[in-house]
Amino acid sequence: MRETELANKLEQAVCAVVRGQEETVRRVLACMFAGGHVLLEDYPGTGKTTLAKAISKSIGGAEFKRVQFTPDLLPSDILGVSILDPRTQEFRFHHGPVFTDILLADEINRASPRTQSALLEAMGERQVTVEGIRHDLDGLFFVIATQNPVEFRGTYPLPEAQMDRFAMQCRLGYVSAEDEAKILADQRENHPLKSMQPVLTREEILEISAASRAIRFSDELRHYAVALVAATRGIPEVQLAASPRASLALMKISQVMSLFEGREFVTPEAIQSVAVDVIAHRLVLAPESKYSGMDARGMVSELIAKVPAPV
Amino acid sequence: METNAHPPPRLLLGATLLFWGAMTGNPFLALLAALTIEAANWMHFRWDFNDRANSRAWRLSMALTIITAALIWLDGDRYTALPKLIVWLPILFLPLQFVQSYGLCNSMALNSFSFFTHLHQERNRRLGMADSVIRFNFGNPYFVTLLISASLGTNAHQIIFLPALILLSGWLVFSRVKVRPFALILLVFFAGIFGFSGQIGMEKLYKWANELSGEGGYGSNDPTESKTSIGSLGRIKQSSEMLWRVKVIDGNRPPSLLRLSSYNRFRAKVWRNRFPPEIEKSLVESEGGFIGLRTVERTLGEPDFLMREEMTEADLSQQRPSYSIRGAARPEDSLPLPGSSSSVRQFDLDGIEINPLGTVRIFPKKSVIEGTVRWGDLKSPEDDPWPELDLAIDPTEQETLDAIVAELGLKDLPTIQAKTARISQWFRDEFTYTRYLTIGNPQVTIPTPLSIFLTNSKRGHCEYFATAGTLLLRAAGAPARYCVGFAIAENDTKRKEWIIRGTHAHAWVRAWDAERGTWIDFDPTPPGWLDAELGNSHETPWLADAYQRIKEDFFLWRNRPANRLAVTIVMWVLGLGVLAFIARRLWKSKLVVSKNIASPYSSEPPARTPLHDLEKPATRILGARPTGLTFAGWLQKLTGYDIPAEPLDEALQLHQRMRFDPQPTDPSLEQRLTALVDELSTRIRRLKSPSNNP
Repeated sequence: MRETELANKLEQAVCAVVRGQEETVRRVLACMFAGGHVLLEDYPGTGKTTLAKAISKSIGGAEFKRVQFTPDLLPSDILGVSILDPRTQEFRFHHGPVFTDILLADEINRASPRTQSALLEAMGERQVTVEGIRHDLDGLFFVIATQNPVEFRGTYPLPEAQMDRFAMQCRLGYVSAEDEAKILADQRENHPLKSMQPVLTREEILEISAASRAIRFSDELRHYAVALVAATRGIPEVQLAASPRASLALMKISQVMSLFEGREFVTPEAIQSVAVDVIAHRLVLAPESKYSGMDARGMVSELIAKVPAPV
Repeated sequence: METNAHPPPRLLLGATLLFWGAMTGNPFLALLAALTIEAANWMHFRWDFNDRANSRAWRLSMALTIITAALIWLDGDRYTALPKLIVWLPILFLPLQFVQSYGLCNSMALNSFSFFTHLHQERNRRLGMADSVIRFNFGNPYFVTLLISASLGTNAHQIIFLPALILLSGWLVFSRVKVRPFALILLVFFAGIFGFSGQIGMEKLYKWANELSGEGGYGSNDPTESKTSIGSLGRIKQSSEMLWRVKVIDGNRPPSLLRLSSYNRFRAKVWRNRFPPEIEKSLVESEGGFIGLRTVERTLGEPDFLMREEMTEADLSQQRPSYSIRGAARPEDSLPLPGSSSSVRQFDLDGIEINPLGTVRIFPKKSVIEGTVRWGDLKSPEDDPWPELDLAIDPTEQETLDAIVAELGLKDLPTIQAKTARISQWFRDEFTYTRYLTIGNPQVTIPTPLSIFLTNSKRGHCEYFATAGTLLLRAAGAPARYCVGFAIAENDTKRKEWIIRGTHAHAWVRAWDAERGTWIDFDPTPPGWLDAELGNSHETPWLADAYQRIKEDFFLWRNRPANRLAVTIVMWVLGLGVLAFIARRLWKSKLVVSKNIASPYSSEPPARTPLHDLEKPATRILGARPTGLTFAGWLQKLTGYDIPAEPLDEALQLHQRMRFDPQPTDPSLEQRLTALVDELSTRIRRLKSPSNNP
């Protein structure tokens, strides 16, 4: 498939800059092709921002904007604001950074909940309403949000509704010693980001997106995906289980993952491989289960092992 | 997670567990354990045990081991505690083997066994640092543990042990390596020799440990000989450990001396027992001259053991002082008894025997015993003197002794009381008690250490005084014997009991009172020796005492029939409770492994592909497939077992296409897949068992 080649080309370009994170890069790209948004959670300095920048730089004609979330950031700083033009005596809408192709929302959990939820409408509906006027976000609108682990100081945890709007939550983690050495070698003179050239156009991205939707998804696997998501509703330790939005994201992202592998249909392995990243962040655990050392990702892994897979 | 750690072949652990059960006399427990472990081969569920589960199982095993060790310790023997613990290790380590047998992963990380390395590993993982982990299958160390503890079992000396050992280790070796028959025989031969010598070594160790627990010298329990410190140099050390506790029942105070054993021949620093020829003849059938005590059962189930053959029931009803005694004892130990003891009762014994010198040895049922002793008898339990033995003096000592007897005029004194009083007087006036020995003479030549003591240094400890006293009486024409035991000196007024410690061990003389026709105790050691003995350490070791007290009292309490039931019930309830808790948690997290192909996600039967035919042969290699694992993901594991990835990957892809692509596929694909599956299945069958791959 041509789209497989294109997708792999983009993946390779990004991986050349973000060393040792092949798996996560593919997932983040899959999320973009599936039309979802991604939340990267990890310790500072693991390459979250570099990954977002590398993706935007390798797409020709794609606009990239970045918002650094701080505690004093206001909703208008993201969405835009109407200002009175003294010449025409009319209010003119100044577009905020949200009007872009790729938006990097850096350290999203450092802003107040009010500002965080300003992103909600934009992410969910691909539209922004300011002062009663609706503005559409057209084309590619892909939010890469990064956050430090919730336990860190000076953070506001994201509300559950907002968590659900992210199709995936990925972790980068520390890379191996060899890859870390490669990173040092890469940046001896210049940051490789600077010399990055676009490898794909904005239109090609949309083409890949369209092609991924045509990846065949059998009826049996549809039931399997639903069973996985539904199983979260049967765990007593889970206060808020995964929604149908999770099953939808699971289907779309596993379609793109299959496209990456050049397969025209989805396999149960593809579903299993992304299920933790797609489902876990949507769960709200009962407080007592947190202290028993059980986390949401572990619970979803356990579910995958338990729900009978189609063979 | 998958590594090349090979489990022992199927059924080997079960068979070895049964072997262990037969050797250690726990067949039912062994059968239960064997069934638990081997049932994994037929069960339809598994657990995804990770290293955390491994370390949990390890902690459980450790906790069980510590509890068992504590129980064994409480039961008495400290030197044999280790072998006893090793015998139980297979059961104690069962949780770990369970985790290994029922887990999906066939190896364990070595560092999950230590708390600190575990923490270290967690930290490394968090920081993304490299971590080298040694992984192994627990079945192998478990197998070795089984063999070691079987070799310590009570039945391990039986002839069946060696062939069974060879068979079992041969089984393991044969399943591991493909060897030529000759090499195999050689290997099994060496395994057998190794195992046999190991077993003998273990037995030796066990015996040595057993012997270690008996003390030497004058607190000794050996009824045939007592090695004295006469002629040795240095300080005599005795443990202040509490050995016996005595409570007076009738009378004012307990006897002042409790005898362990009597001896009648002194030669080369050692007191031994010798019997006249007519008794010696009968020794052939009774070991060491010991014969069982006669019993009279006045109340049912509570026999009185009579110390003298000619005693009657009427003697029992006479008013006599009595006391109860409590302490730890092992089979063949001597029971400390006063020289005038008449009967004992209430001891929980398998047997109680007496020899002609009046030494009483017991075979207790439990390691701590308690019973009542009546004493104050007018006759003594031992045989009347044998002149040729009880008057004999070693020629090397004769000259010195004769000189002293003449000097003290012992021969002219009419009664035994006068003789002993004269000797006592002399010792008290001219001798000093000391535990620091200065008369060194390892070679027993003239002047002997005893004659140096009597004529020159006049300093020594109770063995010198008792030996000298015995021999002086003999030289003066009065039959006398040497005996060892304890002096009852320490009175715990708060608890109203008398305490006997290692430091109270003593030696004295049994002298023949010809007028009354009985043996009497004669303690020639100058009075006040106990104060010298205790010296500065006059304070009681209260902590050790409290521990000993709790240990013994708890033991006796636990073994009373009524309490025993309660303890058993409590232990069972606790054990079953813990077991139920673990079982419930395990049951909740179990994974069903499937044996047949079915899909819960469509009403019509799922399409079968030729690859499904591999399920059976692959199960033999990989174990059953957990239902959560996809078929392809499961078969992918075969690459770890020498199956080339190339045909496998192609087959898996074809399978996925035929199975999950909603679009109908080309029939030629099915033919290709059938061919691939044929090739793979012959390769898999050639593997035979999981242990044959490198």
